[in-house]
Amino acid sequence: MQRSKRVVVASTLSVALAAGAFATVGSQAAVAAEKDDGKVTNVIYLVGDGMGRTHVTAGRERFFGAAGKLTMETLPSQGSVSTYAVQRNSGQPGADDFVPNLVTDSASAATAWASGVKTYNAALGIDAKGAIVPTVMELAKAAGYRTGNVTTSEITDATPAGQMSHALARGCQGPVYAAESCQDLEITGTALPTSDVRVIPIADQIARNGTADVILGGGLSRFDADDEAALEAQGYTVLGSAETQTVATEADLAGAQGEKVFGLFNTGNLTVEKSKQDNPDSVQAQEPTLADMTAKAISVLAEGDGEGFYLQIEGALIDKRSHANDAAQTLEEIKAFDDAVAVAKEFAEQDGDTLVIVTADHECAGFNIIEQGSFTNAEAATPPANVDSGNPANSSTLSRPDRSVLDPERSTGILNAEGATNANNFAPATFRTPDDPESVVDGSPDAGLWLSYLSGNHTGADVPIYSYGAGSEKMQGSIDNTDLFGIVTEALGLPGDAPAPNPDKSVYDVILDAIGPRKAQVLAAVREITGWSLSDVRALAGGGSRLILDDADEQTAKAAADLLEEAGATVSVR
Amino acid sequence: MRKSARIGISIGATIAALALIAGMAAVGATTGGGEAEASPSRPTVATAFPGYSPASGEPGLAILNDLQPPAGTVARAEGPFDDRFEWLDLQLTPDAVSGSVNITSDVSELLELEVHAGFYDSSGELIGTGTWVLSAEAHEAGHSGPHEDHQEFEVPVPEDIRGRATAAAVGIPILVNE
Repeated sequence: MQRSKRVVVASTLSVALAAGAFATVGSQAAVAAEKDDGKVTNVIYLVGDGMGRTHVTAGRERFFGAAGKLTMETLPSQGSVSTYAVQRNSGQPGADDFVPNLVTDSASAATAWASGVKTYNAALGIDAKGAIVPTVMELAKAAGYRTGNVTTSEITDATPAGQMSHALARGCQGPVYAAESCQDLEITGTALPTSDVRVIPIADQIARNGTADVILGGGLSRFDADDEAALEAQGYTVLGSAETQTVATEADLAGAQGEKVFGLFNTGNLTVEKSKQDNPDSVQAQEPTLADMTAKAISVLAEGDGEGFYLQIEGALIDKRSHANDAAQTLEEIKAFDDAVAVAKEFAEQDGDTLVIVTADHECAGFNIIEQGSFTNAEAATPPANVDSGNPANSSTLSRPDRSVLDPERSTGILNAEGATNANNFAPATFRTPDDPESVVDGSPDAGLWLSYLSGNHTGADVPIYSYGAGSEKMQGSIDNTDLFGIVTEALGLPGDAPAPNPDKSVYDVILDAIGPRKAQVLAAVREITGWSLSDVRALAGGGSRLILDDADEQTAKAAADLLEEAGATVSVR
Repeated sequence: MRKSARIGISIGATIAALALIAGMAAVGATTGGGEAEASPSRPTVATAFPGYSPASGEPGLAILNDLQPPAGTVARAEGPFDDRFEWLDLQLTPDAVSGSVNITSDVSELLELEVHAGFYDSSGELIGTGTWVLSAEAHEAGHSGPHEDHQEFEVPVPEDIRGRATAAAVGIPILVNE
């Protein structure tokens, strides 16, 4: 069904790339659309990778003061998101074989919101048993929406890849296949043929599946000449060159034309903002910011023909610099991400028919704001006391009679000041805020913001979510990351719901995931199983997952699956 | 209306969503009765790519064929990720080529790393290869944490060329950080 849409004439949009801001929208020849209740024309989905609640608070206090707000915090709907994953071969929540993993990685988190299923860490676009599941971006594309995928990481990295690839293992990124990094025998039993999409390098998938019309980020090393040719054959304007490993530039981005744009601005992840600030004359300082890429993506998508657009934006380096426990860099990445949020919000306010969602995949490293002048457990010789001498009933085990004291070997001065040269220093870093006197500098004990990390790994904390636009009220309160799939598909009027766990274990569906090399034999097997007409069976050759049997008893489903697999097909039984 | 199909019996199974996967959010979901519809021009999930040649085997470093390192040396073969690491302590013994790799580009978890080695005879001809692999799947269980950014490796000289390998070259075709 063709949905009416509001058309914003993007030709009047100007993108001030140097300022990193989404500049004037100008006068728009907007065609007022009949808006379905709760439906929107566009969704902009922004992910601060690794951005927990404290990351937001720290960013706010650093750049806007205690009483200030980041742009994301001004969005009217606010809530929290649970992020847990599941173990390999686990069922979905509610199933008898549900086995949660309380700390997710970026891959399973991306699959949760992109496809509405819980899966194991490292999995992309498949459930925990290896079955391919469509993504929001794929569904949007198939329904006539324009699509975009923007990141500051390698474009093959988990968060962007979760929308436009399907892989047993996130490490299967390219440029070449390797069994160790692409197969997962715990899921599949035996190695999948290299023609199975789930073991095709993610770069190869991205270059050929046409899922995203606009692709901007890093990771040029993952792509080669064949990929570049495949992109150009699909009509992409390719910025830079994978064949010559020439990265795209900010100028390339500004001048990019066409409805489909592919631009990678670094051979690996994009350069952290603080490094660009500290080295303004470096080549890396010429890389576009996330806000620059967001503005360009919106401009390209809004101009093209389609029902509207779905755009995912990732501020990836919040996570990577949190892993490194580098607070100074983490803060600048939070700010850069928030600048991209500002671009999206400005567009949405002008457009009037866009849902903006800002959230994270997980928290990273247990970021903490500690009291000025205090010290953390990591700096201490022992943990805090656990004895109340006045009332022993208040004490629990393990009894610790002494207060913790600073360990001089683990705390050798403020980390971004006198303690900067000691690699074993766990002391906090301090940062001035706008509320501090002008004379206070970063690294001073007088600076108001004291920051510390718990570890170098992800944590299981719920993450914040902020949203604006029709349907945003659904994201107030506490939700799960898989709920975001249904929220977005409903907002865009995309058909179908997230796969529901099948509590009735007496019936099974048989899905043909891939035909494999012996197409004729597989199609013959399908005819034998289903009795379909020749034309119906031949339609399977077009590719894509297909339901072969629904609600079959276990014996029938197993027999069908065995028959198809003997013919060389890849099959899922759910 | 849904029907179950029996093997060997031509019963027209109801495949309401067969050709309309584009309209389905969930592979495996059904929407009720009806005959199969014609496939849309664009399947939602692209699982086949016309003209694409899937891998026929494990990755190699083709450049190993082009190198002719002098006897007693370990050359560094170019790969796609050379700006992300540094080699340390490379050495060749009669039994193996070894050394270590420092990942310099990223400090998030090291997920995948493969070191490929070529072994050469005294005339500079490539006579054998080997691979050292670190994979995320090889994580030890427990409280050991993620892989270190400094990795020591050793690639044994293949048995059939022991005693003839006088030089080696190493390169990295697979490197992924979290």
